[in-house]
Amino acid sequence: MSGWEPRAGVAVTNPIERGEVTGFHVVDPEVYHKHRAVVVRLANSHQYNRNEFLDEEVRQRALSDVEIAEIVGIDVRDVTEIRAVAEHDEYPIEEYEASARFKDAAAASYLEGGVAKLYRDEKPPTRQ
Amino acid sequence: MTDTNWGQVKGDLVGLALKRGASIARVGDPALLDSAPAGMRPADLLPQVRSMIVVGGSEPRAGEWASPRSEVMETVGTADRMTLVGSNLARHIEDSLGYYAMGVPPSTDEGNRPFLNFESAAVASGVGSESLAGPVLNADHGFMYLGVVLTSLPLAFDAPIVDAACPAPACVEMWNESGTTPCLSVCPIDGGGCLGGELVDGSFINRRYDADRCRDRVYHYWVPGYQAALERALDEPDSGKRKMILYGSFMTRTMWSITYSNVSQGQCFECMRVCPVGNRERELL
Amino acid sequence: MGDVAVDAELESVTDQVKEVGLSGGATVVGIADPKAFNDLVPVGHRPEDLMPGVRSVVVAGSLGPTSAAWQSPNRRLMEITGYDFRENVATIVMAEHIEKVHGYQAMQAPTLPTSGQYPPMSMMLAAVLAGLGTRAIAANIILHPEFGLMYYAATLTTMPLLPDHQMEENVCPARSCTLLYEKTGKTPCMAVCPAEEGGCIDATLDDGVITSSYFNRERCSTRAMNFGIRGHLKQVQLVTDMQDREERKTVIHSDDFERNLASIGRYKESVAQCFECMRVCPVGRNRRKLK
Repeated sequence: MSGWEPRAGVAVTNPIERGEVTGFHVVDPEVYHKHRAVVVRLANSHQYNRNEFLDEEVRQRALSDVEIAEIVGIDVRDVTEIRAVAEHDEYPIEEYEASARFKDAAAASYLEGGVAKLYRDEKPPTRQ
Repeated sequence: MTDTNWGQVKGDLVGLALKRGASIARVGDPALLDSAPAGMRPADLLPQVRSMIVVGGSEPRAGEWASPRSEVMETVGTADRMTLVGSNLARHIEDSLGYYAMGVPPSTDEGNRPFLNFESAAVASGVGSESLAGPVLNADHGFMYLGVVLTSLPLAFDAPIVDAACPAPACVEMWNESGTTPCLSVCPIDGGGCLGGELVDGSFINRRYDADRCRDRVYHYWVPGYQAALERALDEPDSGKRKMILYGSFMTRTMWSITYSNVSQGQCFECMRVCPVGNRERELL
Repeated sequence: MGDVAVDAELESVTDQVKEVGLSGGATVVGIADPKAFNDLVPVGHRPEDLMPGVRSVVVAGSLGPTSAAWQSPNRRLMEITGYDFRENVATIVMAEHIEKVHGYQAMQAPTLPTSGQYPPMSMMLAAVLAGLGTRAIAANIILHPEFGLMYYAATLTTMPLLPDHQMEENVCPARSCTLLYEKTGKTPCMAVCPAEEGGCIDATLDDGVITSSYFNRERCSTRAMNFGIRGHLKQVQLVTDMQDREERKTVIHSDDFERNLASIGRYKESVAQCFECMRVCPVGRNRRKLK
């Protein structure tokens, strides 16, 4: 019958075997708060030294949920949910208002004086 | 005054549809859909309708069927390209030939009903035939996406297909050996799935179909998924737990799928993955 | 002699596929070796995880807003004209060409986020490995040396094609940025959106070379996805926490709530909503000066 089979000699990683199960799973808020900081640090929210031209010992990459689960010692589905919730939770809704004001200020600054104005004004557009 | 060569007109329109990307284009008799519920018949949408052009195509690529990752078909499997082919045909008919034409919208009318049953239109025009799994199947191309153009053009009709693609010979053989078929085996209604039925004398009978369960799979992370998660969140009295649901991966995923419905509305293809009809097109290197 | 002939044929077929992509809407097309991903991304996010036997990753890039959009004094215009997905169309056109003409399996690499913000595969890394650009200080955006900011999609295929290679020189920082950094301690992107002042970007340079970088993706998301999925979920959470019916009504019928839903409905045009670091970036800017 039709259906795929792995090609001979091709290693296929199975997401279910890795524990990467999709679907509806809700993390306990206590577990979330307990492990949120380390999950966020190891995931991709704050990206340090990603550039491919950096020396190998300096360059960093984000860890996958499976890798984080192995380090933190919790279920990978909880890691996924902690990460997903934290992505939304990093900033309150007021940050969205601040972002709109930042864009207004940045675009206006450039329209008025180009790049040079960035170096003349006292405050950057992020603080205007 | 010269008589219009309607055969030529039809040939040109079919050629245009194929050129624009359809794998097949046929003309069906709208009267064959007169038994549809009121409001869903071709004449309910275009009172002047004389023929319906049905296009099929944009099958998922062989590479997508072969991927072991369900996220692939969940996010690139859907295609609204046949809708675009239909719209282009309709525009061409009105601009160049001066007859009414409309591409029927594939989205839903009130009450979550389609404007027109595209699968019935496809069967009526000979684009494909009914299947045990549900989708209309073309013997060469298998599962395809469909577009329908209703028009007042008086085109000659193609007939429905006589020799149905389903069940395929391989499925009949499997039924005779083990009492099941690929689609029944992968998604059995009596085992938490959506499909049931029997094969007798090369036809399928007593079809059973759990539409609600199928919808929850096909629209897994789409509008119904969003509704289900929102309902669960609203039922949750604890604010902290509500946040875990609303910000969680399932809810987030439903939002991405809704925003990109054009590629991510259909999210379960498992009965079609195992279907042998048209799978010669998938035998690539 | 046989090897030379095979290489010439491979090159010819590769050029043909690239041409199909360019005709299909891409501005640039490059090929990456799928094995090159393996040292850089974790298991589960590599091309071979998505397509068994994958031999080539064909990357298509296209431009974002038109030059006129950059000129508009209404910066909100760019929030809904930033993206037209031509590179996605090009990858589908190439996938179908490869399957129909050459008989190899091909598919559009899945790019929609399927787990929080995570897509199954990184298109940015694909662009780097295909030699189409290098990673910038600004938001880790991949800058093409001629076009600057581009959007990328990819076709995965079992067809062997001649791979391109990563660029040997970093596009970022540009010379003018290095000079500004030496004078002021900031490049233009760092000056417009400094991480330590409520922004997203920071870096250090040494003699024109990036020695460290930092990008706050979540803050950037509140800007680049100001209206849409994330704003909507925030407002739903707000509304579900409110006890007062009139307060809930105020939020539900607010302009922001409506804009969030409108952006969700028109996300194809509205997925990128902040361009301020790219507005001040000199790479590719000359191309935006028209009549």
